[in-house]
Order: sequence, then structure tokens, then C-alpha cells
Amino acid sequence: MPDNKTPQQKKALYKRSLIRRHHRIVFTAVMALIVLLFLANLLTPSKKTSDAENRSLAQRPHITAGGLRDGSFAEDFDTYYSDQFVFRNQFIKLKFIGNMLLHIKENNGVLIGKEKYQFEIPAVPDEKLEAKTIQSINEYAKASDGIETRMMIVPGSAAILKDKLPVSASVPDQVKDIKDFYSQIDDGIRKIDTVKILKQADSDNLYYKTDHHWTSEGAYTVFKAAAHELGIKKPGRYNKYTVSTSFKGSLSSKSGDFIGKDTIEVYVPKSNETDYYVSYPNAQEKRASIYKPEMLDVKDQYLVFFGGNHPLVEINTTAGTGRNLLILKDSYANAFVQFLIPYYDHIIMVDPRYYYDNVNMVVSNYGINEILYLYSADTLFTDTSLSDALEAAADAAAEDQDQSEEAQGEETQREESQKE
Amino acid sequence: MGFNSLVFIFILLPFALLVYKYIPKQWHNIFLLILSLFFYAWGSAPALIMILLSVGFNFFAARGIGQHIESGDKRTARIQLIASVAFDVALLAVYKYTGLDMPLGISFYSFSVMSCLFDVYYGKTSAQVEFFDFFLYVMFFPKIISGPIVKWEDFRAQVHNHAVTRDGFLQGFELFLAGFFKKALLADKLGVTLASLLARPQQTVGLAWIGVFVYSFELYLDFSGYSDMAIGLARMFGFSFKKNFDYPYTSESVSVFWRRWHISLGAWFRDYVYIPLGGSRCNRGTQIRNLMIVWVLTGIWHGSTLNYLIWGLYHGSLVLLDKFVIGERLQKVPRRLRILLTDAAVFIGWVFFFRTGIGDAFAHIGRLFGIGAAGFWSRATTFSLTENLILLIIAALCCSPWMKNMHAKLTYKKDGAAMYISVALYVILFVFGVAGILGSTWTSFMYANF
Amino acid sequence: MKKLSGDKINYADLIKWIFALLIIVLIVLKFTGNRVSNADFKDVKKAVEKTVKDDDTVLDGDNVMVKRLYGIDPADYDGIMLKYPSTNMNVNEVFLVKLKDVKQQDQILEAVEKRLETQKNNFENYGTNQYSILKKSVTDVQGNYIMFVVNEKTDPIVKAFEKSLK
Repeated sequence: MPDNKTPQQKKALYKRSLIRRHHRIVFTAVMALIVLLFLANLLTPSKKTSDAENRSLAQRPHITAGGLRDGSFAEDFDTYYSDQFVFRNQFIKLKFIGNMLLHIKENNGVLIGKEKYQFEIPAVPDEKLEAKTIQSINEYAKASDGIETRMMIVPGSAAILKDKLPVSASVPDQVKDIKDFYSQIDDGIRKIDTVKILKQADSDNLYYKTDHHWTSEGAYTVFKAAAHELGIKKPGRYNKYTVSTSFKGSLSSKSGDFIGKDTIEVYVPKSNETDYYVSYPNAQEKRASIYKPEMLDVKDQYLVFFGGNHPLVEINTTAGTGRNLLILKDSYANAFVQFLIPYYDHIIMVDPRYYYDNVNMVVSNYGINEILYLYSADTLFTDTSLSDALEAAADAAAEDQDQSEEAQGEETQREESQKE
Repeated sequence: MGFNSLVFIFILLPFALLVYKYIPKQWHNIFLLILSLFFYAWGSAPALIMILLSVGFNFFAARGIGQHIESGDKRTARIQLIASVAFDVALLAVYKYTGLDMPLGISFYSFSVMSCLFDVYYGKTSAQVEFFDFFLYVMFFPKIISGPIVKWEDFRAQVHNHAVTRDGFLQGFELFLAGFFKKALLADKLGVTLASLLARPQQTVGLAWIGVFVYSFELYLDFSGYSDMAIGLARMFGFSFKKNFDYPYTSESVSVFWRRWHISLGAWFRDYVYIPLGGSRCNRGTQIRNLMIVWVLTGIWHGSTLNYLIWGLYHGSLVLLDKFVIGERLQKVPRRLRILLTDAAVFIGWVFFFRTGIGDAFAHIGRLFGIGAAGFWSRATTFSLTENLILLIIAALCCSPWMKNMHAKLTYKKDGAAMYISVALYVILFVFGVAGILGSTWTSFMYANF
Repeated sequence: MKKLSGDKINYADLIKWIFALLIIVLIVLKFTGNRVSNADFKDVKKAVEKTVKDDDTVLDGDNVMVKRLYGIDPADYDGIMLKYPSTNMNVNEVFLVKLKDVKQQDQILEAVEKRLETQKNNFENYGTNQYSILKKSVTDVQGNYIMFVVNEKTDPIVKAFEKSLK
């Protein structure tokens, strides 16, 4: 071919060769990456659980004729492949970084705020559910004559630390929701204004930055201010100990940000007059402390308090005050109970999400004379277990009443027939 | 299976490319067919039977029509054509209008099989339809799920003639990647923010507009991204499919828009409905009728609810307006303004896509102009804007050739570092794209779920 | 369908209608399989309860019991009825669910299977009579209604259930 190309033609040809070279290198690089990841996936053994996601991971599905036929094998395999994908956690972190670069502040229901604060977006209360819960609480209180009942609903960080939210973020008004809820609770139940206490507190350490719980300091702030309402005339002093500086909580897991870190502190009464032991009936376990230090080695270090949520936890003390407290709770209470130990003989913690027996039995077995509802607003406004448990207890009580009336009726009949 | 699934990208694709490269040429089409069957059956096994039956029905229909054409019996051919097309349309309609789960890709493969029937009848291709060619045509995995809608005559011309060239292969791969980026990095993220935006209790005028923009870009990037991946893949196996999108948001009129958006669908309706009905070669009244028929069909092809019908009529009316009323006068308007007006008309039309129910759709459109809105702006509106601003800017840049031209200008300089920076960028974007896919499967539980 | 003047039947034309027929059959089958019942949960519940009203070995299960035995949250569904064994020696059980969405079928079937497994394990070694009753248990899936029955005689209960769905 004669080489009589014009300079433009030559330039065009050169550019084309550049383009071809570029495409070739891109192909080689990306395909190499694909093959490497494919091999890595092939050679890496399957993990059983994900600490980061707090769940078990899908395992390789078995090939069955039925599974192949209805497409469920393919679906399960897709899930298995993505669950077990190599560097999964790192990829999530990368996604988070990508979102940060694009200035996207909401990741998977978690708002990324200032000073590395992460916020769970408050749940919008389910009105029907709320009404049911309020009704069951009121009725249970009415039926529990003689038991002092109190209620403490704790707002999430998004409601209190408004100045740390990302610019112009708007979230449901949980403060108002708590106010509405309280206003429908009967006067016989003493309500603790946690919102006021937390808003007035002058501290940077009321809530964890990477977790949806309040810190021990946040809990202590409420305890100190509300002690009087809890019937504790002279709250004692506590020693503060730091048990961890490497806590990466639930919000980190949810959003994919593993950068932030929190400190966990525990409060121990200064005067060590009161001895106690903790009993976990469902696990048949007894411990000399409410803290489980081994939990500091797992991802969710908040579990250092009691090891998490149990159906029922018994704390028996030598306080000698004659007060026996039943706490109907979610996980927020776990960080609060450490302050209550010197003031009660028995503290029974019941989590209705896991407890299926009769609450009345707890009341009678332990001689409960005080009840405290200690919930985070998010859980209380969206959960059905509390109302279910209280209704079941009320039903059972009504049945017992019927049965005992029946029995009484039979007895009176018998007595009368005997008289004759 | 879809193109942006991990199993496809990391298992099926490398495997397919490798095997295709090393098996003898005469096995190529059979291999592609088996691959396509596997691709379709993965996760859609129950639908496989339906598509196989449809292949059977339409193959014999094409055979029959072809035989009638060959023997000169145009009348019977026509009868059989109408009966077969009617059956295909009825089948599609049954799925669309009853609650039944639609078999994967039925909107697309129905149009493919009908294309074959038409092309055989009109003599565009040989009257003898070869079974394996037809089978591969329908099932061909790059296009089966979301198009483009390739005409039978175009596919037939290449089915025994699709040698892979190095340039074609590499360009195909680039296109595949470009589509992947559009989808996984932009469209998916826009989709996530759209949901929370639309869920805000107080819908302001600002939110209404931001929603429209977010969706308009999401739809374009998602659909054109997927088309790019499809065409790119086909290219890697030697097939050249025409582009399905040509920067539609740079159109200067609605008529032009329809020559740049979902081009394969427009071409299908033009060649198999509009032109046979007479097209533009008749009196104005019939022309209008023909156009409206095409747009009603376009509307209901996209969806089975009233919203889509209204959308189709809306666009049909705009095209009629452009063609018969405004006409040449539009040229007097400055070019940039023409594009803006066209975009406004098109973007507002998309409201019928992302709002289900006519009430919600019209309410949203009303809010665009202040009717029924909870104020002009709000805190939540600012938040939605800041969440989406960068995405929207990047998306807007991708709607015109700017992005591509800028990349070419910066990269293809004399053998400099620019080339390697570009490669690194591609790799990084690819990794981010995979992160995006994995991210959507991330479920974290607050309380242990063991 | 016209034959060409003088001769051959076009086989292709004929065969395609066989495929068309198969397609129609497939669609009809799909229709009848996914049929969703518009029956009111209250009526279905009443009909089923009637069949076990004389059975004094079962108790009414409340939400807490449902959660405990089946691990599902009644709030996720349109209606739930549970009759569970009153003592550790009986196995008669009726579990009726109205789904909010047909997609919930899998969750319920999984929960039922687990419950059945647990019961079977409990009685495998020492309760041959109960075990055989458990083995005869019936899980009836009717679109958006599912009923799980353990009973010596499951037929009348199943019949009453299906009848009430019309």
C-alpha cells in the first residue's frame, strides 16, 4: 500500500491505534481483576456468620430437581454468592466512601452527621400499634393495684443532638411523638421527662457515635436527674471505668462506615456495700456481675451489659430496701440498670420480644411492688410484643379470676349443700 | 440473571468469553444458544417453558407463512400472519392485563418473534426460516431481557457471518463497561434517593421538580446503560446491533426525541405498524390516525395501567402538535431553548411512570406548578437537593456527548500518562460498581439474628 | 384456513396451533393455581372453628403463643387463628393464616415445617400414636390462605376450609 496518506489521515490512524491500545489495556486490567476475584471466591472457604451484619450468611445451596425447576436454586445461589463474596465488608466500606464523595449523607437508613456522628432515622410511629400499646399499659396498671408504675421513654440521638445532624436533614419529630404518647398514659403512671433532661445536659457524650444506644454517661445523666422520681432520695456516687475505646456499633454496620470508634464506660457504685448476683434462667447461668467482659472481644461490645437481651434476667441484691422492681424493657435499659443496684432487693428485667410466659407470674413469684417501663422511643412505637405480653397477662388473670370464682362458687355450693 | 449480577460478571461472562474463543467456529452458534438458554433459565425456570412454546409457535408460523409466500399464495400468507400476530399480541396482553407474573423479557421477545413473521411476509428475508437461527435469534442472551429489539432481517444477515474482530471486541467491552458504570454508579444511586424523596410527608414545589429530574436521569441512565451493556456484549460475540439511545435529552423537538429514545422500539412500530397503515403517504386525517395508533401502542407497551396510556397519548399529541401545528415555526426559537422546552415536556411526561395511579400522577404534575403543594421550599427540600446535586450534575453531563468527548480529548494525547490514568479510572469505577451491587445486598440487623 | 388449490395441507400452519394450544393450557393452569380468595377471614375462621368445637384437647392460641410456636409475628398477616394442644400428650392442632401478600407463602410454609419437625421430634420415640397422627398432617395452600392441620381426621376440616373460601 503506497504510503501517501495525508497528515490528517496519519493523525487519525495514530489516534485510532491509541484508542485501540487504551481499550486493550482496559480490557486486560478489568478482566484480570474479574478472574482474580473469581479465583479468590473459589478458593476462599465460606463464612458462617457476618459480625458486621449481625446475621448468618447463606451457604452453598444443594442442587435439587425442585430447586432447579422453580428457579429457587438460582435465587439461593445468587444470595450465597453475594453473601460469601470475598472482601464483602471492604466493598461495603467502599460504597460508603463513594456515597461520601457524592455528598450522599443517607446510607441505608443511617444519616451521617457532623463530628463523625451517625444517626438512625427515627421510626414513624405506627398509630394503631401505639394505641394498642397505650391501652394495654393503662389497663395493666389499673389491674395492678398497689404496684407503683413508672415510665421512661428515651429518645434516639437524632432527636436530641439536632445540631450534629447533616445540614438541613429533616427527620420525624420524635420529641413530639414521645410527648403525644405520654399524654395518653394514665396519670397513675409516673412519666419521666427524659427529653428535657437530655436536652439540658451539657455533654458531648450522651449517645454513641457509631451505635444507636445511649452511652452510660447519657443514662447516668437521666438517672441523676430522675432519681427522685424513681423514689431514690439520695442517689450515691459512682466510679467511672473505661472498658473499651474500640467500639464500632450497630450504625457503623448498617451504613457501612467502619471508620468511627466509640468509648464504652461503666459506672460502679462507690460504696461497695451492696452485693449482688445475676441469674439468667433461660441459659441456666449465674454471674457475679452484670458485666460480661468477654463481650468486649466481639463486634457488638454494647453486649458487655448482660450479654444482650434475654427473656428474663434476675438481679438479687443485699440492698435490704424491700423494693422489688420489674423492668419491661428493650436494650436501652441494659445500660441503665447499673445505677439501680444499691436501691432494690430484686430487679427483674423482662424483654417481651423474647419472653413468652405470663408476666403476672413474675409479679407474684418475686413479690414485685414497682414496675418501670424503660424503652427507646423507636422500639416502643413500632413493637407489638409489649402489648401482646400485657394482654396475655390480662387474659390469663381474667381466666384465673373466672376459675377462682368458679371454684369459689363450687365451694359455696358445697358448703351450702353440706349445711343442709 | 441480569448483566449487573455478580454471578454474571464474575462467573458466566469470563467463562463464556474463554470458551467462545477456543471452540471451533461451527460450534459458535450452538454454544451461544446453550448459553442463552442457561442465562434465561437461571432464576426464571418456570418462564422457560413459555418462551420455548412461543418459539415453537412462531417458528412454525414463520415456516407456514414463508411457504405460502414462496408458492405465491399471498392471501393465505396474510391470513396466517394476522392470526399468528394476533395470538402473540393476545398472549402478551393476557400477561399484561391479568395479575399473572410476566415471563422474563416477554415484552421484548414478543416483538422479536413478530418481527420475524413480518419480515418473512414482506419478503425482507428468505422465506425459509432455519430453526436454529430463529431459536438463537429469540433467545440471544444480550438482548433477551431488555432489548434492544433487533429485527429478524438484521439478525439473520449476521447469524452466519459474525466474525469477531479485535477492534469490535474491545469496543464492545468498553461499551459494556460504560453501560455498567451508568447503571451501577449513577442510575442505582438515583433510584435510592428518589424513594426517600417521594416519601417525604410534605411535598413542596421544589421536591416535585427535584423528583422529576432525579427520575428522568435515572430512567435514561438505567435504560441506556442496560442497552449499552447489551450492545457491547453482542459486539463481543461479533454481532452489530444499532444503538438504542442517541443522547435523547439533547433533542430539539419531541419528534426528534422519538428518533433518539428507545430507537429500536420506534423503528419497530414505524416499520411494522405505521408504514403498513399508510404512514405519511395519505391524507392528513389518516396520518393523524396512524400516529395516534402508534402512540397508544407505545404507551401500553410500556405498562398496563391507565398512566401509561395517558403518557402515550400525551406524547402522541405533542408529536402531532409539532408536525402539523408548530412545524417550521419552531426553528425560530433559539436552539438551546428548543432543547430546554423539549426536555421540559419529556421530563414532565415521566411523572406518569414513577407515580402509580392517575390521581398521584396529576397531583404531582400540579405541584410542579404550585397547585396543591405544601409550600415552595422546605428544609427537607434542601436536604433532598444536597443529597442529589452532585449526582444530578454528573448525570446531566452524561446526557450529552460532553462526557465522552472530554474523556477522548484528555486521554488520547500523545502516549502520555493520560492513557494510564484513564485505565486506572476505569478499574476504580469498576470496583465501585461492584461495591454498589454488593451494597444492595447488605442487610444489617440491630439485634443478633442467629 | 384455506388449502392451496388442489393439494397439500400446510403442516407448519397446523403444528403451530398445537403449540398455541399448549400455551393456552399453561396459562389456564397458572390462573387456577394462584387464585386469591376474597373470603373474609372471620368467615373462614368460623367455618374451621366449627369443625373442632367439640375437641377439648385444644386451646385457643393468642399472639404470644403464635410467636412462640411458629416464630412469626401475627401483625405481618391479615388474620391468624391457632388451636394448639392443651397438654404435652396431645397433638391436635389447627393453624390458619390469611396472607397479606401471596409472596408470604414461603415464610408460613417454612414456619409450619419447623413446627411439624419439632413436634415429630418430641414424639418420635415414645408417642407412636401421636407420631402417626403428625405424619398425616395436612398443609393446605390456597393462594392467600394457608391452613395447617394435625388431626386424626383431617378431611372434614380441610373440606370446611376450602368450602369457606368460595
